[in-house]
Amino acid sequence: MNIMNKLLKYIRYIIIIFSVVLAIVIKILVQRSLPLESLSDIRLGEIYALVTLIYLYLTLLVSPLYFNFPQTPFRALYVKARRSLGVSVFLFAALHSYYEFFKLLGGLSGLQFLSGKYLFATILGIIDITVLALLASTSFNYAVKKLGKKWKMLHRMVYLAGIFIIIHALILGTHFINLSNAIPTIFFIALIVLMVLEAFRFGKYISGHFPKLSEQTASYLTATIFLAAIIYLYLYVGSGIAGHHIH
Amino acid sequence: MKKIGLKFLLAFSTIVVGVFALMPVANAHVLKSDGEVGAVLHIDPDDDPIANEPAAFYFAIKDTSGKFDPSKCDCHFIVTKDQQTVFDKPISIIKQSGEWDGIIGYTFTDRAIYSVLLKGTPKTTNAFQPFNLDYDIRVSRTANATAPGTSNSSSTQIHLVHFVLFGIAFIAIFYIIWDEKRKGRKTSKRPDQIIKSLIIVLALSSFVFHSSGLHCSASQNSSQLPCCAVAPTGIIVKSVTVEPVEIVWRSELVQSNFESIQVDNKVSNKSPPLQTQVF
Repeated sequence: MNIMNKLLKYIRYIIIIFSVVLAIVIKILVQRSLPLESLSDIRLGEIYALVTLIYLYLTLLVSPLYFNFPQTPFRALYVKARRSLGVSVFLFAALHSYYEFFKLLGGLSGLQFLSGKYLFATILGIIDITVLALLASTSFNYAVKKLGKKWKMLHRMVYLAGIFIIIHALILGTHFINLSNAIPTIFFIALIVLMVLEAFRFGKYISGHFPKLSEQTASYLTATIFLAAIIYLYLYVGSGIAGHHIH
Repeated sequence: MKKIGLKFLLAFSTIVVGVFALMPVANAHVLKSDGEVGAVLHIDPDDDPIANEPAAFYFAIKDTSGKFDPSKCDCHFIVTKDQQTVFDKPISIIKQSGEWDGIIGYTFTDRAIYSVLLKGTPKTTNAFQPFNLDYDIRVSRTANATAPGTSNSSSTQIHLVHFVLFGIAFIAIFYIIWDEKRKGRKTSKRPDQIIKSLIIVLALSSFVFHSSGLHCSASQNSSQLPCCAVAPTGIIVKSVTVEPVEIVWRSELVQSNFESIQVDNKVSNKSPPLQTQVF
């Protein structure tokens, strides 16, 4: 069995094991650099959130990437890895939720002290983790067989979770307070690339349902809507926080 | 297989963790509660104060019993370092959008771990539940030692983002065209569409980021960089004057020296202080 075939066989296990190891390594390193528990909890919550975003991006990139560039190498490997990437999204999201919600916020009792955008963003986060838990728990072959066609429909909820996660990050994310910094810049560039690729997928889907609309027109229309949404997020949701931090 | 897997794990872990280790420490929006009273703390700039630069502290205070009244509160903002008090001043608390906001400015003197305490003691018995809200703050950054009137960034650094954005677009275009030709096919319709879309979107994005002052940092004097019309770092409060009739608030950041902050969102002051507070 050559290397690629072996990798293909074990890629899901490799990714899950890697993610678990990564989570442990991050915890050890942060706690060594910040012995004070209150500070290390904050830092861990932030780092796990960023890793969640990275994994989510890699999970969402698979379909639009190979739809638009079918000749991109490692297709079988990447497609097979997607399920474990998704489970890793849940892993890091759960860790982030543990530190942010239970340790820093103090759990449900802390919600009573939040108001306005903080409360809204926290509720979005609760919805996100619930959706991700549902998707992770149905990521196994048994669930795929049992749910049949409904499995694909259920897992399309990842797009909804993705939108909520973006809004949650823009409102609450410490690294998104100043959108001029490196992390938000990279985030928005990556988001734009993903949205352009998705626009062509959506364009084909839309033109299939509306035959009068050509695939090209539908794609450009979709890309324009996506871009408008990103600009709105950047200017009003993200930057809106920079001036008024509290409400 | 096992060797490759292990090497891959080690290399990738090192790179990823290394990247995160280089990121600056941030304090984030932190909620602390004491009984019925809680407050979310946000610090400017970026929840990551800089030593020797003014930092603004915003406390979004909430009393679940509804009894809290700043006019009846001897509310203090206390900073301690190594268990020694280095700052202790009354904090101004106003009502904004139905919530109580405590605002105060402080300049940390050096990089260290500080403890910030918001202490509320009622002036009259049972006015509200007294509270002590304690936050740990790590100051890990210091202000750049730059001579006044000079800028740290060259033109290349300032426009780096634009170069990167267009660089990515050009590399993508050339790779796709080269790949299609290498495989002996005509350039198909979809990659051509994608290339055009990417160029348009990246160009538009570059414009959006440029007009939003992407490359204008707080340390740059806006007069030195014409394209940095505003230095968007948030609000630093140097002085707040609370008048008996109304409070006027301006939520814009204008100068890097923060000589004066004016306020223009008018709020009627339903709880006029006993004396004008200026800090």
